Amino acid sequence: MSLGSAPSFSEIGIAGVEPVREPRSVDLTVEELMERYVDGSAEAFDELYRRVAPTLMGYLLRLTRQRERAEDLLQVTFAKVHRARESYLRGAPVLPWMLAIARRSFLDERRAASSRNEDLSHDGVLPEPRQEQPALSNDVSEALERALDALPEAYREAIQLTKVAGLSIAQAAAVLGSSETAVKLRVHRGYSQLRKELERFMRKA
Amino acid sequence: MSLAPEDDDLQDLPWPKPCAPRPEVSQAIREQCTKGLCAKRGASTSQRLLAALSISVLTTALLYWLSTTSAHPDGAAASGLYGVVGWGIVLTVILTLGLGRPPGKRGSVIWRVLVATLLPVAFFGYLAFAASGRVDFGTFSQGGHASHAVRCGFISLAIGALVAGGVMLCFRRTDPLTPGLSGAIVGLAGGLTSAVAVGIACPSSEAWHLWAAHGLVLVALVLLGWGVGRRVLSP
Repeated sequence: MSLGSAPSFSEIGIAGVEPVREPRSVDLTVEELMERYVDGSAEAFDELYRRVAPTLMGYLLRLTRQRERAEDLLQVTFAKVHRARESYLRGAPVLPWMLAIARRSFLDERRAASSRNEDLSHDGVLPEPRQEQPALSNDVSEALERALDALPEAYREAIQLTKVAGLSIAQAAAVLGSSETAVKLRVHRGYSQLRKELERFMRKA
Repeated sequence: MSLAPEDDDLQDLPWPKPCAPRPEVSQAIREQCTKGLCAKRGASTSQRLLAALSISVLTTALLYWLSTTSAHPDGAAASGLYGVVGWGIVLTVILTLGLGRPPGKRGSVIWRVLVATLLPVAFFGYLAFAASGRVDFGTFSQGGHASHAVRCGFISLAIGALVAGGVMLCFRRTDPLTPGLSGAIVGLAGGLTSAVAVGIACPSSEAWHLWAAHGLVLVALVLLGWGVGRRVLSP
């Protein structure tokens, strides 16, 4: 009798009792995926990456305004996550944890760049290769992108975390190391400026 | 906490969607993070907290034992024991509330800032209450008084730094969210341990001495903890 084709115990089950199945990675929360990654599961890492990388990339892209730099920082962020995975404390919310690491990586890089006397713009961002400004279009999403880029960094970050990354005010406050009231105020003021910019766009359009 | 109702009119805007990195970048990250991947489970929050409390309690107990075996009268040792118990409770509460939960669930930033600033102030009050005499500042700042205060201050700083360093190692790389603030809480714990423990062994109960050699050390350790914590506690 070939054991290779024999059904496993979990497939047979006991009469009237559902066989115990391991939950698939796609059914798990990001916190559970992080737990499994810490326990050495590459499959859990893949699913975790699939879920959080776009949010982290969007956040870094908004901070740096350069795709290459954002991708470099994404690599740095995941390298830090990988190194620090043993010190991930069970129950800590994963997305704010990773966003805070990404933010710290960005600030460290910016500090290092300024100490090398690289030519920084007024808001401390590295110079971006000048691109041809596209003709004014009626695309609201493009206008929103421009309006977001024109916001002061503190407002932009608060809006990016709450509106685009989908964090709660409390989680965004934790990532930014500030109080919930301060974040709420930044988001509100950022919205006011965005509203003005969009109204200007609508009049021009 | 929700946003103001007037901000609701922006809900329907086409907000930028999260964007994926290029496939080659994702591939490089995957290789970097899964190469030779194995289980790497660190200690849990409660285990780290227990280790941190043990460091503080053992240091205090050791210094208390040293002070009672020296030539101090029994009354001083007994009143010192009350101090140890009282501040030990404070220390346990600080460490439990400050570091007893994973980052992101540690309570509000404002509350923890208040703890890190108000407790040193309260400690100065406790020292003023505990002081039994006071010389004028001119007398204190010269001769034997000053050299004793400097010696005591250095010993307090060294013991506090050792305790805070031990606690910080227990929580190394665990807090990317508020590493500075958690570091300040660790500094506070180290400072309280050393101030109380050295305070029992120290024969002086003069007010200037207590404030300068024991109280200021606590403030210094909170500030030191804030600076070092930003590096050590952050991943």
